[in-house]
Amino acid sequence: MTNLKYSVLPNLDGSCELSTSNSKVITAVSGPLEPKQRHRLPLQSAIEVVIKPSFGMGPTPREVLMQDKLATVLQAVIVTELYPRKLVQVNAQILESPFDEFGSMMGNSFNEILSPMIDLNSCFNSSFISLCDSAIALKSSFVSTLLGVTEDKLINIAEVSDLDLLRSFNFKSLHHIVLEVEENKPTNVLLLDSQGDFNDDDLVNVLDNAQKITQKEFQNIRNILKDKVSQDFIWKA
Amino acid sequence: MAKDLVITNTERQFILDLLANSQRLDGRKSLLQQRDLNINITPNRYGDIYLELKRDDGSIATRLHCKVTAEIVKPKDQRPFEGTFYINCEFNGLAGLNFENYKVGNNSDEFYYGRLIESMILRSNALDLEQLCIVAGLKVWNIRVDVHVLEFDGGFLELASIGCMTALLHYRRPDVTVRNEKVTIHSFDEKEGVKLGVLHIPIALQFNLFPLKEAAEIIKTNTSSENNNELVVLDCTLKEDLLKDGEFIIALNKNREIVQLNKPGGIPISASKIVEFSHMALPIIEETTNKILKAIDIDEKKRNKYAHLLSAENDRYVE
Repeated sequence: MTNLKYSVLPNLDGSCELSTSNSKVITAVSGPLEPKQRHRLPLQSAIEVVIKPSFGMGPTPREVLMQDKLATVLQAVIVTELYPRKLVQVNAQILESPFDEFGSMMGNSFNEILSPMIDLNSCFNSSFISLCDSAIALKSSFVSTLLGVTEDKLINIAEVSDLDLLRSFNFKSLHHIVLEVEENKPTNVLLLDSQGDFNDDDLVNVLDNAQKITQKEFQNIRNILKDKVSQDFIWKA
Repeated sequence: MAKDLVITNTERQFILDLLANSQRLDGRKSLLQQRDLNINITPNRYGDIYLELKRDDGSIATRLHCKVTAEIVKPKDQRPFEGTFYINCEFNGLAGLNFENYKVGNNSDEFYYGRLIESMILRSNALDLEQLCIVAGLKVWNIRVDVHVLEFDGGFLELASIGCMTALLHYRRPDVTVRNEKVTIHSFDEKEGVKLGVLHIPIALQFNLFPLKEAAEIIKTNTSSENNNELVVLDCTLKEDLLKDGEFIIALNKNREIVQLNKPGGIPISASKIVEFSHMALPIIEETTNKILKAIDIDEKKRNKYAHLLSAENDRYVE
């Protein structure tokens, strides 16, 4: 069950704390800011994404890869032309990951791959709410889903609350899908990151399911945003 | 680009005048009043603590997340029987726009305070490192505490030291069996985790000093008879922190033992003040320690709800 709290950091423009059944992240968006000279683009805004790991110094190469994936999608979604010579900064701190405990990585070769995917999936959904909270102009909405394919089942990983079960699944492949949502309907694929052994039938099945999950999740997010807008614009009534 | 927090001259004068009248910008009525401390322990994890300092109006001033993680490493050559301990804390863009990402020593204080807490815990033997040894010279536990700053309005040192100690007290590492140099690590299902050897609970407290006169004037005119040249303020907010001129850090435990003293520069204080500060700190430390132990106790009871049913201990009746 996804749990969302928005505007948790009053010092920044937009923020969101998101917890799924097995992970927890906090993200913040600040912008448009005055960037350093090297970030200054004449026709559009620069986007800086920083993801901090749940433990240890960071960002390590693991987080840098996550940052790049997140930045590419945000580049497509944020109306960068509106803020030329400015910077939009997205910060994320991973607070809980199912693989924090000692020894939890061992025993399943997929865990090494699964761990950054779970973190990134939460970062995507959380940064969307943060962006809305910060009132940065967006071209469209997006929802991220992480699905695992085993021998006979398709699993929505964000809903697995039993950590031992999560660590011991025998996945054939893992798919991280970010779908654009326009007029309440999932449309374009913004990011598709698949790992493991799969064929085109699997992928079609995954995309079909991702659409359904996106539709459902977006309804949930929409209700939250509706609440937020009615709270924020209370003076309008 | 991160922009430093700037305080205008009028605001500076206003805050200092308020302090001179025993008033605080956030509505506190005394210089020695601390903000409310909240300790939240994540229910399904070990050593995962959220700490909050709350203002009088209920909003969160400072929020930290402390997390303990353990890994098995090779010990240092000079200390083959000891595990290692490390505190990692850095401010990043989440704490506010005045903190820049990727910049080492943003606040310049965070590393300093991090090392201060580390030495407070290590040199006073608050964490027993020898208990962390698995195979001498080959395998020891490395315990790391990560302090994430999620919201910042002063009070970092106190909160971080409380957070580190709570997290260390709460954490359990997996149990290990060694047979013929073969090491087996048991998961929490197999064997219950082992608590870390926390021998006492030192907590740091920072007295912030604000001058009533110019520093040069104090040194020139100071005689033993007058020693009220400074205002002493506890639990400064970020703005007050920028205006202070000197600090006095003391780390104590509940057993009334001084663990660490630090007076790095700033306005001079008379030597007798040190005793006075220690006496002022004692009840505060005692209260905080009880708060920590209570939070851990409540969590323990929640986790162990069937303990009283499973216990083979007889009821004892005391006359």
